[in-house]
Amino acid sequence: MNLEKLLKKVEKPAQYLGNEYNSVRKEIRENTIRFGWCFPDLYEIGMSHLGSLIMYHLINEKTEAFCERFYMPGEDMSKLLQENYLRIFSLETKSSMNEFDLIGFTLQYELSYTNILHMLKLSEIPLRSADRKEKDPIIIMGGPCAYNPEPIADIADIIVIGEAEEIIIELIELYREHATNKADFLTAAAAIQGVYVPSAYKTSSRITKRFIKNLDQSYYPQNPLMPHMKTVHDRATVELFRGCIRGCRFCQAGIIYRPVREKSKEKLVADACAIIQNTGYDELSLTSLSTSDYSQFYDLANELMSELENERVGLSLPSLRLDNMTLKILKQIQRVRKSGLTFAPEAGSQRLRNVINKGITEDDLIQSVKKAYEAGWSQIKLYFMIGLPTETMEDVEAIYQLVSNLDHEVYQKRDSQYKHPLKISVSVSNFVPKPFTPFQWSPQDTMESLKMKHQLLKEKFRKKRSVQFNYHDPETSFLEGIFARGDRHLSEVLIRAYEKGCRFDGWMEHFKFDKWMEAFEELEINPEKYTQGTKSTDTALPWDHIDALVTKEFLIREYNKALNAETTPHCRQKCTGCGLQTVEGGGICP
Amino acid sequence: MPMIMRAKYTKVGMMKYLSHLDLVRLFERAFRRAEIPLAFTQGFNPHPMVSFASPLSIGVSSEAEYFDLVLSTPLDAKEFTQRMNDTLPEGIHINAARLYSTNKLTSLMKESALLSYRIEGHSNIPLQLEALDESISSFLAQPEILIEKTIKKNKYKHRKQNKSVTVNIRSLIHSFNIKSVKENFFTAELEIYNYDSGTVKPLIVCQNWIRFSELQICQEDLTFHRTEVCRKNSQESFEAILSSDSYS
Repeated sequence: MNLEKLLKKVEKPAQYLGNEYNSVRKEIRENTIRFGWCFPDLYEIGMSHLGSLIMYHLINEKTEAFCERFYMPGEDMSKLLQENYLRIFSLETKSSMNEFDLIGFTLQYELSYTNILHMLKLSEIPLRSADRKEKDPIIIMGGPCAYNPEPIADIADIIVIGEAEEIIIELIELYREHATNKADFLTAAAAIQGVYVPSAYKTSSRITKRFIKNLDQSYYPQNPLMPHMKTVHDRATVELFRGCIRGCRFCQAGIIYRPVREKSKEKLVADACAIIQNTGYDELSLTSLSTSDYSQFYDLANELMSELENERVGLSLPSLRLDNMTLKILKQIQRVRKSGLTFAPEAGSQRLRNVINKGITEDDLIQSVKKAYEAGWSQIKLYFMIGLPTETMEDVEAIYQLVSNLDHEVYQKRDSQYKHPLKISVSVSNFVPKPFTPFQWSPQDTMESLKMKHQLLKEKFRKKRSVQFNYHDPETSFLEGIFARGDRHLSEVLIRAYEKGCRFDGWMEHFKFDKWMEAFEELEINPEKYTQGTKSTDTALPWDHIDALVTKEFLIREYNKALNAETTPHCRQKCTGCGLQTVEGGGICP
Repeated sequence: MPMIMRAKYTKVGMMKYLSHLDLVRLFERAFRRAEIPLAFTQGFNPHPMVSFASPLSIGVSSEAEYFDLVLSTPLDAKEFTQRMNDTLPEGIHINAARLYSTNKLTSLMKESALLSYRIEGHSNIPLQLEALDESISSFLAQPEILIEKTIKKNKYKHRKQNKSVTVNIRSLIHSFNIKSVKENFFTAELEIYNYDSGTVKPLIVCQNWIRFSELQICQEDLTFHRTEVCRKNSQESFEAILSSDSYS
């Protein structure tokens, strides 16, 4: 293939080059197992995904297999490939997917499923698992969306439930033994804990998720790949912990990544210093689901600052809960940019915040924003959701009221010594109920109702010049909700919609809602049956055969408390008995 | 005493598809990995002080790109080159460097007076050297070569206006010669002035030449390689800003 001919004609050709700093090259011999890591979205998104980074380097360093990468090509490149009868190619050796033994897709977002089909299609690999032959590569899928594997169960050969660091090594070793016979390999793979093989599945058995028991001993790349072009998160990253103590009832990540497991401060500082040295990044991000909940957060931030200050490396701290201690740290970190700070009250009224168990009060929020403003921040971002269970129009209006009070208390009543402005931006997303959360039984708010709520807020905020108001399209949320709680029938809808030209569904400029509705209609499937929830918690759910190690009793308990607006203390205050406390490696969360 | 390291580097192979901004980021990270003693800008978000000469279009390769980097302490030019080349990716390679003990140099933008390119292309039919020479002579013999250029106006944030202006590019061409012809393939050399008031991309010159002379040359397959960036010396003649393989 004359790649250069294509590169001259496409936008952002840097995304197709490969050979990035710290990318891996291995000699390909007769018996080399070739693994294709696929991210079903653009390079600039995929290169920011920490999980992909870990897996790429883990496979290359810890196994004999050679792991290469595939990303979804841009529409211009797709068109050129199809016009010239070419296949998509790996970044490392420019090979097509058919030359690989194992292909792994990461499922980060329901609306990237059509991109998976497109990447298979552009590789001339049959879309349905049942149609693939012995010579075709084995298609593995995993990631947070795999917790409800049914919508893609006819497409994948193997679905990995939970954290993949150990499973992937086991699968590669197993493949070495059974490379000559696909059926034997799949049968053997199905015996690994955390591996779901839809074609070999026997009803009544359950697939139990895998998690890494000791994160300090788990692999973390010290020479991470560096993107050729600007990506969403273009910086060095260390992962402080997995899991979350908070127990917000809408949050799937907070459940599926249980139990809480922290890395030691020593390991984090050592990793951070090595990564900065090996990459030359000037910014280090401390990531987790709730960074300031790291038990030695203050000491860690101080130590990192004293190690990195001379190198002029800045710290980036996403997912903070702003309490007094955190603000003190933020003030000390000279190089945290004072441009923007994000808060997520999620709901406008106290009652609704109790329903979702977001343990934050209006007064907390006002005090935090006030302190942040007085410490020099001038831009505040506020995240809310609408369409939450039990929500009324009063709850929606309360979003406006809360923002209004905030502006009044912090900015209008500011001390005269503060001259800088306060810009508030309000972002409202539509709540989508997810499996393995207490709201997995709840109806999703309808598109009509969401549109009414948007209208109400739009009108309210129109009068408030200092506030920028953004909201999300209800149609993409509807589709996301369908696939989040969908069943096996959706595999066919997915393929039909793809054949009608749907892809990049998460990108507004490409989303074709009418084509999706046509696909549902032609297959005589009512999409609303997936979003209307269930009357009783006894109803069987499509993901009941997956065991996320959190008991259904716990979820039901939380669901009932939610409906009564009762809160649950976080895991450090009192063990909630979610189920992980009796699991080996789980125990009481730190 | 502030020091400025002026360096010359290549951008070849697949690296020619990096945008200028991607390249700037790549260098900033390579400086840190190579532990170059950097001087930083003031403020909340300090950046190394580095400035580049006339940026290349995406897809154009070069063996003569330049940057000026402010250092906090002196560093031998050879040492600098070696440390950088040890960590730079394939295709980006420093091939000359010079340390200036000053805090002010004439900027590379201002120094760049003449840009030299090697152009390679082909036709669907065999080419003749004489015919190509002649076509260039008559192309250049025109008193004016006018092109339409759109200028993006970004002055007012909400009112983006694009303005179309007519530019004479004949006065921007210093020389244009065919170097060799072999069957369907040819190689040419083009030298273009780089004025404060403007310059022209070699692709635009070639497109106009091909259209003017009605040659059957495949425009899409033309390749451009920058061979040198020259400054005007005190004798008013052109010389490379740094000659290759010189370290001082």
